Amino acid sequence: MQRYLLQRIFFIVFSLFGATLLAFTASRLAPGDPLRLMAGEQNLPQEVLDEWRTRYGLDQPILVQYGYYVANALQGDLGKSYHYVGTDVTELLGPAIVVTLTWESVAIVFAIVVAVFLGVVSALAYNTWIDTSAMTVALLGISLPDFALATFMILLFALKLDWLPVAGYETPAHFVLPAITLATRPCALLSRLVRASMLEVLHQDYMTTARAKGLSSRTVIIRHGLRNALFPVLTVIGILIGRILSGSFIVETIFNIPGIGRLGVTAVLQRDYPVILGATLALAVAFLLSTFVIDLLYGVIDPRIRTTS
Amino acid sequence: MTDATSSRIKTLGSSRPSSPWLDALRRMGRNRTALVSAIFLFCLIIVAVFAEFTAPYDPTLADFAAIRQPPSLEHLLGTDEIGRDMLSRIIYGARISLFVGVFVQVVATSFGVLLGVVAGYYGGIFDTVIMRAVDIMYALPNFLFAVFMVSLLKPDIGSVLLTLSLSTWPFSARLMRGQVLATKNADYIIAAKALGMRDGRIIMLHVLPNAITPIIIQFTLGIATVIMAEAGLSFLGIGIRPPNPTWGAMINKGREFIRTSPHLAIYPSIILGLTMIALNFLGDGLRDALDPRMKEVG
Repeated sequence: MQRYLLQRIFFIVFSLFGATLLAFTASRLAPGDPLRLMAGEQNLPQEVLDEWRTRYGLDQPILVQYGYYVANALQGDLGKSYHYVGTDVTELLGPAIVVTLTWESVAIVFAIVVAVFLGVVSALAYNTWIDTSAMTVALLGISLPDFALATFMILLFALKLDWLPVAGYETPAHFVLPAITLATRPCALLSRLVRASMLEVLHQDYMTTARAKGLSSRTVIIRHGLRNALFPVLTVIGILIGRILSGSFIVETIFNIPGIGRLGVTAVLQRDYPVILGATLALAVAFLLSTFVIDLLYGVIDPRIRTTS
Repeated sequence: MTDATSSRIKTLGSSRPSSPWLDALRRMGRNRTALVSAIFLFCLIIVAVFAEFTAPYDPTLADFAAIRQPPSLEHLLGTDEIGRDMLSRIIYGARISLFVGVFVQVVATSFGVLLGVVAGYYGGIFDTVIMRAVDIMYALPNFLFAVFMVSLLKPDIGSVLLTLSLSTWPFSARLMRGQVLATKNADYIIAAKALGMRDGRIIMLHVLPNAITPIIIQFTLGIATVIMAEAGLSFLGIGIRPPNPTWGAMINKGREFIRTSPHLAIYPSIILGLTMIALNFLGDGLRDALDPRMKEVG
């Protein structure tokens, strides 16, 4: 187990280095002098630009610059924004991460609860109209692009019915449409998986045994069925959470939510490379951590994995 | 083989006269949703390829006398914010979407399959290097990477194709490697090696055919993902530039007028949604047809 943990941590650190190095190199090879971008409209003399170049280490080779970047990042310093001159990247990232985590955790919980419910019901009602219609809805959910779904929902619930706000981030009511938009795809994918997994479990011997013991059907389905059916689903949940955390650019842009996704997209449009790098780093950490936590959970839930590794 | 089956093969004109493929084709024919999806996609491709003949108007021709008109006999799907014909723009948009989807999947899948085979078949240092690269690509937030890359390059269709190919190959590489590992130690491959067959021939004749089913499925479903990613880029205003009609850009532009003229956003959303649904149904149908074992489970 210890060896396995070490391997996983090494893997995370390695992936982080790889991902940031790639993003870092790309940002340095980008066209346009970052100093000109920083200077913005002002016409600064060459001496000032040269002074800045040395101060920001931009005259060094890329790998050296990357070394500085990593050394500073380890001390919690991700550099300063080019666009909002003088503002630390971490100052921009911090609040954005809090916002994103808040509204996306609503979406994640929503997706998992609905998916497990739909999947189990479909499996129990295998091949009936309930099953077929639930799975058709799921396939529709997988297919609809999030911005198309968001457009339809804004039109219906915000403009025609006037039940919910169009965009913004003030009250919990503002969370509803973006959370549904974001949750739909993962929820649809998961419900299909839960159903398949549950169908497999339902025919296992221990289910027959549990029923033969005279347990109530609810106990059999939840304690014996669902618990076993959720193992294979767990990995996918981990990946989906990672994807949700790293996939809210469009939804946050549409609903004007000041989270990490909108920050990342705006930074790209403004060529604000330090902020782009910071967002990439934060999202990569979120993705790797969520898969790591799920791996650990596996060991907690399934004792077989603990003992064999 | 009996006469009856061989004649059927001839009528179907299959280049592979093996019965598993024929069985798959027959199963596919019985799946009504998959069949309807295939027909829909076929029609869409035809209309898009011959856009010059099928589109009633020039998609970039502005008519300021007819701005944001609702659907009428003259303009079946109405006109947009500068009076361009919506139907024509959607048809030309289909051409871009389908082209990007298929092109990126062909490039990315070929590349991914090649790397996956090398990693799985030869193992060792090849496996380590390729799979670590795949891990890094998985850790990178995919869409941000695409947005970032396109913004670094020229905003045209070339950079969109390059960027999406770059962020798509790891999926088929990982899938292919798993497939190769699963078949590598099968008796028929060991036998082929013992008979002195060269690696290239073993890969082409024995490894690939046995690993190709999930790749075909992933190829189809992947087209949907790529089209969606391109639409997402266009939606954010990065990538293929106006006045080129793309579905994503049309939906984005239409959102500005959603209160007064909802048809500007709705029609491109519907056609994009239908295309996604058809591709997913087709992918699902292919999975059931090519891999009957999956059907029994789910």
